[in-house]
Amino acid sequence: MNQAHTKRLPLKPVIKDVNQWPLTKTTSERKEFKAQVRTRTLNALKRNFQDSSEFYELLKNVIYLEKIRLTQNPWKTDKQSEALFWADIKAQLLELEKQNNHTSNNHLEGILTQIINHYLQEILSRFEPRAYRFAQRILPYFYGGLLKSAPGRRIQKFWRSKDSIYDRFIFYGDIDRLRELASIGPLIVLPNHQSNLDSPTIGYGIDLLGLPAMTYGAGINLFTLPWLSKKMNQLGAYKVDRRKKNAIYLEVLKSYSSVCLARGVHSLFFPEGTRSRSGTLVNKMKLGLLGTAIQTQKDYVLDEGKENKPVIIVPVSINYSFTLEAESLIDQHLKMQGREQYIKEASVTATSYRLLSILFSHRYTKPEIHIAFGEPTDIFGNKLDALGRSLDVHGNFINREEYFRRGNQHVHNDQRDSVYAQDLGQIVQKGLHDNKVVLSSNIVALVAFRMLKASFPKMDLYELLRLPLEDVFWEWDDFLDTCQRTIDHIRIKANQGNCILSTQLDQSTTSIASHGVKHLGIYNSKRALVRSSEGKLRSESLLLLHFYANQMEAYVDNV
Amino acid sequence: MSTMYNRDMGVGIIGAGKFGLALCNLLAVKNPVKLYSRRQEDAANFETNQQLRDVALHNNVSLETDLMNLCKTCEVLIPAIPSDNYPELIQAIQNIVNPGHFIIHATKGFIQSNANPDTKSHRPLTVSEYFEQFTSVRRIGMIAGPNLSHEIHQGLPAGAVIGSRFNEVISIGKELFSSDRFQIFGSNDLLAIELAGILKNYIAIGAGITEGLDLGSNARSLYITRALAEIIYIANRLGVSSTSFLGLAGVGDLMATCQSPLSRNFTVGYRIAKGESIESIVNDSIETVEGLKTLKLIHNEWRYTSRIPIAQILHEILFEQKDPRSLVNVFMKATGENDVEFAL
Repeated sequence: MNQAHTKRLPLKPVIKDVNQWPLTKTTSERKEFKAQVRTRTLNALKRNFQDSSEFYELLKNVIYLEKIRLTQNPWKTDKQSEALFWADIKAQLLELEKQNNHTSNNHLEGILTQIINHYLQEILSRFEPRAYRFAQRILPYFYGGLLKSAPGRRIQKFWRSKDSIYDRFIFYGDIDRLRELASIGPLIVLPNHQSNLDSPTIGYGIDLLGLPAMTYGAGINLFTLPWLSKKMNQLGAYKVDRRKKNAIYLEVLKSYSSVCLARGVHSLFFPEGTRSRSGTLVNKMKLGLLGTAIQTQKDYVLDEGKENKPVIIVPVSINYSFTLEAESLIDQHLKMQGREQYIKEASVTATSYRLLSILFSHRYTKPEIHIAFGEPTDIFGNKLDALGRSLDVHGNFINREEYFRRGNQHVHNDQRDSVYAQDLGQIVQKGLHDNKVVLSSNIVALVAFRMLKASFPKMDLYELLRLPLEDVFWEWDDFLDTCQRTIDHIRIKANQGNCILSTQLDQSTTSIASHGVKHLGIYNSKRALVRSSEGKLRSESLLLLHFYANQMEAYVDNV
Repeated sequence: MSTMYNRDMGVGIIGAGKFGLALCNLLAVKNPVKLYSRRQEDAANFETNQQLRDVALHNNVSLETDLMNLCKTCEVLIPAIPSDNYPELIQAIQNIVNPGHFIIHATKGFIQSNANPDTKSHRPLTVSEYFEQFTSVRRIGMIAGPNLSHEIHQGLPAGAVIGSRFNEVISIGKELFSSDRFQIFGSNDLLAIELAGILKNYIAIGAGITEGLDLGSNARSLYITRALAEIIYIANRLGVSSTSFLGLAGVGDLMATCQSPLSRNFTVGYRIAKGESIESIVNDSIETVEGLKTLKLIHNEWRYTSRIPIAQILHEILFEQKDPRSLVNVFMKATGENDVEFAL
């Protein structure tokens, strides 16, 4: 069974000198790094587009797509110079055509290199230890405010020790093993994605555990504020533009991530691709970036001296009792799913009285963030020992090169690797599912919504969500009974390894239920559940309740 | 790290049953083949006249009595054993097979596994799922299709499909098996191929009954068509698309096994219809009748649905002593408004 990690936070850094971190080295050796990405991209493209006429078509196609993007889907983040750049590339290509050189590989490669450089310049992250240390100092205050606790140990004396943020970050999983493995091979940390808060949370969480900083892809749409965008860039974020779907851009992105991994830089991907709109786990993982994990492992195998190095997969589940943007997420989800059946709830205007009363109602809450690290595995889902060797289910060592072998040699086979990537997607999904930490707030949301459904069995979801709120209430005693049964059910699931029980569930049912109701969806403008003065349980927003209940739907059998 | 084996494209067949021997001779046309038999007496027989169970084996075939050695020297392993024997086989080879092995199995039966409660569904596993769960081998495929061993031994032309998620496995299968009297097709839908092979077995028992009752070709065709809809229904419920059932592993195999007295499953049905008891038939047969086990498992899993009438009635006929004639009722009294009610 998974127990909460009990060592005092923050843990000592695995590599003390920031300048020795692989990510720092990509900045200090930037020239070399860029050259590696460039070569890799060129080689990959050459494999896929073998003769020069195909190359020529590719370039024409990319120029066309980029022109469309710039004119029809412009974003604030687009640089002025982009239009000029593409006009120039187009002119060069036309010139080649005029001179009848457009079938010459060398000329085409020249243009291609310019495009690659252009993309690379945009994507590249420039990790700065200084910015990182700055964030290390700022984040405790941010989380101190959010979790309503003291921002660190130093001021601890003035507060009760319980109220330090270090007690509000609760970690599960084999942290010691993770720290050992961090110096053996690149970690690929794969968290679930519920909220925009996830990136800073996992970043700070990783720092609390003493792991070196990771590089991560962030949507280019987040880079609108110049100051913030510079900071994100300096914290290891590289830019991903989801509008660009052309073959060259995608290849640069893949090569970027592969080269990072090959250099031992730990990476963070959100395998679901986007925040979950409904609250449930997205059931199709993004395979593109998982594919680079397979590629890197294959490169290690073929590369003499590195053949024993594993690429390490770590699914991570981040759990809060609140999702700041829950209202807009579930709204988007139901709009997509329900179309005309879905009628938006009236939103409350944020008067100062309203805001004050929200803050006041939370004065006794102690929000926590529970982060569970799944068991680190290799890219095939095999367990790893402390030295990074893969073990099969019977505990035999597996030579990872066997996966890529046929006869007495290793063979390239993209189809085989894509099947491995699909399987990795499944492994990650199972990892995310099984490492969900069940909080008290999860239990109450689930129970309340299920009871609601049961009392109106003939209504479909949209009818339920439209119920007048004054007709919806739960008798506290009935509610406790159902909570008890649900907790028993979840305990069985946890024993089977399908989820993790949070430290909050160590209490009596009554305390769990009260704790859950008190903490569920704080910071949302309406409360998903609230104890009314007559002792009944009421909801201010069934949409929110539905959203929070969805987070648990996968853990109860349909009865 | 595990030991490096010095293996070329060695091919090893596990299991010297009728079908194992048929595959053996097919392979031996082009490649040296190692055959593993667990029966001690086989070694001596083979030694004296290059024959096993009255089947003359090709000169390229050599007999291997050490399973470990077979796995060490062969990159491609082809298990052709009854589904019941897999737990034992895996137990024996689990520490020696590794991700460098390719497996193309030929077993049309489910494996019941209580060993691991962690499985996604509680349904019995197919051979490939069993391998994936208990070994580190990943590149797995299955060879299936209308391949009655008797006809293959006679050297008559035939074809089969190799199902695997890995194109690598399919191409290895093609290289190894295809010849001027054996044609190989490929499919990436491994689970569908496995299920098609497994499910057709119990259908063949019913076909044997129609023959035994002398119901004629019309009735048998009616039966087979309705049966196809039933097994497609089951496959769909298990998350598999219908398309592969139109291929060699589905319709192809049904045509062969439901028509031919050479099929073991068919023979069981035929003898039941002629009034023999199931016990005496099972006692008589040398080789495993996969259809009986499949029927029990399917019936166990799905008994509460009305959508598998054929499996239900066959279960009653075989294990609850119901009159074989009642099979006719199922397809004569079915309230079928639509001829084709499954979607492709």
